[in-house]
This record gives sequence, C-alpha cells and structure tokens, in this order.
Amino acid sequence: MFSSLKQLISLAGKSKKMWMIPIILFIVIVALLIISAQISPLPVFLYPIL
Amino acid sequence: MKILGVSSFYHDSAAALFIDGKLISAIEEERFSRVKHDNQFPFKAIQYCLDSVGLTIDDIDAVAYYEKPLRKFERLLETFVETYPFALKPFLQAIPDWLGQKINVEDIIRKNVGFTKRIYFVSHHLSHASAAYYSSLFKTAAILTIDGVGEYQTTGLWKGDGGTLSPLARIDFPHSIGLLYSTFTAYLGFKVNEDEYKVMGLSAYGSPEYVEDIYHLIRVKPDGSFRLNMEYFSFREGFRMFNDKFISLLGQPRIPGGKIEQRHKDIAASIQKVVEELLFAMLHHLFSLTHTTNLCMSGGVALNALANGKIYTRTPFKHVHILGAAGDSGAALGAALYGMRHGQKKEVNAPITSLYTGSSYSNESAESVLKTYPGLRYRIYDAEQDLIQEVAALLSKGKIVGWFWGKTEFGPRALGARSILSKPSPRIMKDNMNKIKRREEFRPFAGSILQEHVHEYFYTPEKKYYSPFMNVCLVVREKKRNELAAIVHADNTCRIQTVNIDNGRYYRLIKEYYRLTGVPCILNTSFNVMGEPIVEHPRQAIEDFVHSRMDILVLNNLVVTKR
Amino acid sequence: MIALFKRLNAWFISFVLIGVYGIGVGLARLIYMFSAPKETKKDSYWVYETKRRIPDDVFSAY
Repeated sequence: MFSSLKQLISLAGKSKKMWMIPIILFIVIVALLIISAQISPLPVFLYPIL
Repeated sequence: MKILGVSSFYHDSAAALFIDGKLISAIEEERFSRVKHDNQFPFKAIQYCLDSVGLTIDDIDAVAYYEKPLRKFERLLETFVETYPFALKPFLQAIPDWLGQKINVEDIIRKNVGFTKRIYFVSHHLSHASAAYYSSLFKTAAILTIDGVGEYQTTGLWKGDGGTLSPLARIDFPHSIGLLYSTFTAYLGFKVNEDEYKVMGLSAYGSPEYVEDIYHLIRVKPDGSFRLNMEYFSFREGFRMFNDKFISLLGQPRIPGGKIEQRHKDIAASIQKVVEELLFAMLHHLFSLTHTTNLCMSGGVALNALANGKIYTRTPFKHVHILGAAGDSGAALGAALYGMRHGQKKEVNAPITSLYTGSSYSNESAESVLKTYPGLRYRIYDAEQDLIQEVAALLSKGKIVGWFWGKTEFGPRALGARSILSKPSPRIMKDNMNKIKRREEFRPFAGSILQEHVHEYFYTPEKKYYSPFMNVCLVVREKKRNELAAIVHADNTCRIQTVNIDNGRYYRLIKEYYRLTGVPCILNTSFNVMGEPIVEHPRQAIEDFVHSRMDILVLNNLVVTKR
Repeated sequence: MIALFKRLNAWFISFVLIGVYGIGVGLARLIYMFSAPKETKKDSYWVYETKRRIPDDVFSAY
C-alpha cells in the first residue's frame, strides 16, 4: 500500500489535469486509512471518535 | 538481449520471452491457473518462460509491461468525473482494486517477481502495433490497432517503415468499436470479453435488418472515424453496458441461457455488418495515409475473423498480417518487441511464423499420468509414421481424436498442438463435436487445410494463401461445400488455418489424411470443453477424454482408448 | 473480535470512499467543467498525431 501512495503522488505530479488534484488528495486519505488498518492495532473506525 | 513481456489485470494475462530477437516461449496464465481469461498477474506464466530455457529472473535484461497503469488509472478517474454522480458503485469497486494491486505493477515486478533491472511501460496500443508490425515480414506496412480500450486510446492508425513505428491518428475512449461490439455481446445474453465470437457466429443466421437502428448508436464519418452516441450506453457509469434507451430502440435484451430467437440473430447480423462497414472505411482512410498494400492488424477487434476475410475484397490491402494472439496476451509479446527495439537501438527483425511457444510434456510424463487411469489402455508408437498412419485412418473412419502434441499454442486458437480433430464431413460431425464441447449448436467449427490446396477449396486472394493463425474466414467454393459440410457455416464461410511443413507432425497428419481420403482438410477445434481454458497438462486432456465422447486420445506418441 | 474490527474497518473505509466520491470527485467535476473542450475537425473524428514520433517515455508508468 505504501507503493500505492507513491504511485498516486507520482500520478498527481505527472498529470497535467487540474481536476486530478482533489481526487488524488482524497484517495491518498483512503490509502492512508487502508495502510493504517493493516498495520495499526487500533481499528480505524475509531479515528473520528479519537 | 533477454526480454520478458507481460500483460495482466484486464483479461488474458500472459508472459512472453525473447532472446536475441527470437521468440523463445510465451503462454497465457489461464493455462496454469485454469481460470478462463485469467487476469491475475501471470506469475506462473513468467516462471514457465524462465524454466523453459533454464533461466532465472536475474538473467533477464528487461521486463516490458503492455500498458501504462498510471495513465489508465487517470482515465478511470476521468470517467468517474465525467459521469458524476452516477458511477458510485463502480467507483467503490474500482478504487480498492486499483490501490490494492493494479496501480502497483512496478512493485509487483520488483518485489514479487524479484526483478531489479529496467522495466519498460509500453502504452497499450503501441504494444498492439508492435506485436502486429514487428512480428510480420513487412518492411513497410499500414497498421490498425482496434480494441475495447487501452489507457485512453481505442483505435489507432500507424505506419511502420524500415522498422520504425509512427502514430498517425487515434480515437479515444469512450468511443470504441470493441466496446460497441461487447455491448451487443452483453445485450444478446453472452459474456463480455469472452463471447464476442459467438455473436460473430450467430450473425450468419440472421439478416441485417437493424442496421438503421444501430446507426442511431454511432455517428460515422466517411473517413471511418466515429463517435458513439453515449445516450444509449452505460458502460462508463455502471456494470451494465447498455441502458433503457438502448432497450427502447432494440427491444428487451436476451436473458443469458435463454432461447435464441430470429430477432437476436438479425441483431447479431446487423452489428457485424455495421462493424465491418466501419472497419473497411477506416482501412480505406489508412491506405490513403500510408499508400502501402501491406496491412497489419492487432487488438481484440482484429480477432473478428469474418471481417478479416473480407479485407482483401473490400479494401485496397493485398497482404494482411494478423498475429494469432491479436488480443491482450499478444500485447505482452508486442511490449517485449518494442522494448527490444528501444533497448537495442537497431532494427528489430523478429517475424513470427509459429505460435507453438508454450509448455510441452514428454511421453514418460504422459504415461505416468495414464497409469493412474485403469479404465484406459494405450499403445506407444516408436515411429512417428506408424502413429500418423493409425490416427489418420481413425479420422477417416469418423473417429473424434483428442490431439495433444508438442508445445502448446499461444493465443486463443488451437493450431494443431492442443486440438480435438475429426473429419470435416458429413454434417453430423459438427453436431457430435458440439456435444463433446458442450457448445451451443449455432457455433461453427474451423478447419485446418494443407496450404498447397487452400485455393482449391476456398476463394483466396492468392494461390498459396498463407493464413497460419486461424483468424480469417473465407468463402468455401461451391463444389467443395459437401466435402467440408461439418465446417461450412450458414453463410458458406469457414475459419481456416493453412498448414505447411512448419507445423511439423500436424502437417504430416493432414498429409496422410489427404492421402487416404483425397480431402486435404480436417475439422480442428480447441482441446477443451465449455468454460475451461485449452488443456495444458496431460492430466487435463485425459480428464476431458474420459468424461466426453471422444474416441481416441493422442498424447505425443501414445494412442489412448477407453476399455 | 479481530474479525469484527476488520469488518467495521471495511465498512468505515467504504463510508469514507463514498464521502471521497461525493466531495472529491464532485470537486473534480466542478474543475473539469471549466476545462477547455477538445478541438476536433468537423469532417472527422480522428485525432491526428501532430508529432509522428513515439514519445520516449518508455520507462514511465504514466
């Protein structure tokens, strides 16, 4: 999943399309959540409460 | 230079290995995983390619991947943006899938495969164009690439000259002939990306009465360029390819497995006609841009054998090369060919005249499996000539023979290495074969014919017409239709493979059959039953033999019968 | 317990994805609507390649 993040950032840098930026930003958040769910002992669904 | 080409994550994952310009091995992942059109990363296919010549991944100089995954992902996101807010469900399915693996191709190649050197990412249509051009014998050629979609491109016009490929023009997603044909495949109750050839086969039983309606779905210019009328299609925003407006135009879709009515046959005939007209218009335009009578074609739509057979009479092109693996598995090959050219910085000369590039098994390994089947008996033939005489005689008597010999073919067609064979007449052989294969009765069978006799039986563009990859349908000559009754389709065409000395034992078998019967052609269908990929291992062949009405099984030098 | 957490995580991430679609893709749609439309000839839908040369970016996944 870390490599997914790397690829997303690479895509944001290379794409000349402005509308990509908000989507990539939000998908990066999802990717971080997924990474967190894989490695963190804390369930991610608790993050909003914390 | 040792270069490995790879395709994956859409359909027909495959790997292909070239060493110093020569194709050494190539095979689809489905043959090992036994998942038809398997789209998972082809680890087993890669391992086979390496093992076939005793290499490890460290011996490989470069890996070439058949598309640019980030650009494809960008197109996917653009589609979600264009169709907002209607594409939520596909979005929810696609994003985890892409984040999970599809976007990480480089990582998979480096970490899971263990490759550390350079990776080429060759754009999808360039992979197709390379597969078509660099595998041909042409120095100069016009090239048409046409499929569902790559990154953005769905159609490409190219010129190949002195080993250099030049892009001329393109059409981008969502305007796609491949997706148009697939939409009709789905509408007629068949599986998308699997059953398009069923629509082609069904078209022979219908008349093109819906052509005018179909031209509501697509706007075409005289130069063959086109736009789909997206008001009728929903493949961007949903999982169904057509919408209610499409249904209002053409009527209710056929339920999968449901009865096939005349209306369905007529619709199949209509879409086939429209696609052919479009294709020929494109080819005329391509000719005007390139001024050469040599043509190469690639991409999934290039598997439309019915259209391919008409190119000679409907366009200025006189010499046509369509690689047998014209779909995405062939794109793995094309990516490697392009990477080779780029890496070597010199002309790539890698004509491909044989697709016997897959796995093979010894007599001993086949025998060891056979011994676990007490209900079967077998005889080993030391001399090939004796084996061929025996099998040809059985064929002439109407026996149905499972033929498993040598290296398996690359691409969707069986070319005499993993085939089920029978004599090409009478008509009942077709029905018997359809029962063995558990196929719909409207499906036609193809033939393998000695190249030196092809013009006697078919209307060919030249006397010794060369079509080794079974991707062209030709009209059967009137006087020969009885002799080929089991393989002549309702429209008097037949999909054919010309066979010559390069086909080895398969050629010698047909030669012997010709000597016995005076007919230089046999029925050839792929060695598999419905729903499974072509057999790869002797055990799979034996299982199909045991559970079907095949009379004889030939495993290399072993002839097997049921007790 | 872990299985339950995993399921709840999956639900939560799906919920976030819906939010991403709603807001992220929605924002992108707004920007997209102001992008310049593609120019094509009126008598043809072909997009002709201006440079008849393949770009030399074969090592890029983009």
